[in-house]
Amino acid sequence: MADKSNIKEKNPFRVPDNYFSEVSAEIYSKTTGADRIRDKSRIIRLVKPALMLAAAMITFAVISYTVLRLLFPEYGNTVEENYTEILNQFDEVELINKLTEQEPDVGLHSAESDEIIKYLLDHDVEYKSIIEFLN
Amino acid sequence: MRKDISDELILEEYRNNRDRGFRLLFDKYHERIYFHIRRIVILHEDADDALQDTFLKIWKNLDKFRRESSIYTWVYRIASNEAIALVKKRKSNTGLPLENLSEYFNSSEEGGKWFDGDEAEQKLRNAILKLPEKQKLVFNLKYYEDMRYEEMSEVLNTSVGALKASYHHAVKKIEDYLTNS
Repeated sequence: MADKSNIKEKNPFRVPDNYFSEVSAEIYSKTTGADRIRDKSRIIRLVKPALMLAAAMITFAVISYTVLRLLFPEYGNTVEENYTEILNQFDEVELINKLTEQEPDVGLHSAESDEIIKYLLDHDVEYKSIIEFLN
Repeated sequence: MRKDISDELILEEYRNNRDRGFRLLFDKYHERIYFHIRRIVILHEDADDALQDTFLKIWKNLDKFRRESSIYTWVYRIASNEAIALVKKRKSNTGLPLENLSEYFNSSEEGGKWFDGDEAEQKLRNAILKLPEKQKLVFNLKYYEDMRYEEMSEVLNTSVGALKASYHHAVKKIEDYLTNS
């Protein structure tokens, strides 16, 4: 490539003082690091209140949980621990009996049948009239 | 010195660290690109706008640079296009042809403030301003930048033969202007 060291000597145009350093700063601010640093700080500035709110809520939750654990230790058990405790308290024999227990008889007990017959006899109710009534 | 760094090294730096690579490229080229643009658009404010647009475009497109040409000619091509676009825009907005700027420069305070060439240089500048757009670019790149025709061919997307002819015509017109003025 040709030597271009003499270009400036040939060049009659002048520029304002410090123009090239100022335009460098301007271009850098629009392109490389500085611009993105500004973008980052803008994002941080926008997100900061939300982050602070989230941090405050987490702190509040942690403190509340700790206080509750200290005041009511039994509430601190997990669901699994609660079920294990119930099962440990349950008697196995009782459990088997409960599972094999017969359904209650839906028919009339003999004592009740006797009373109905006695009632029918006392009031002289005939068998035929009952059949007719039911039909 | 950052201006002595090779284009290869700049591209390698760019691959490793985009910001640093771009800064090296900017540091190496921004002054000479400014004056290249300035010779086309003449006014400092226009040159400043075109320079910034040029490097913003380079920043956005450097990832897509395919090495089909050298980065040196690629940068000059973008700058030349930006400068020509600005001249056309100015012409359509104001209806003022670029040639009239030479009169403005010769008579106005601003002209004296931003141009410190002697009388011969002023005449040369006026003669260049009267050239057609393409010839002006060819003359500037050859005379001020010492650019080789092969490189110029990449910048202006024109054959070497056509560029040589264009330069020859430009020199002839300038000689005629200097002789008769």
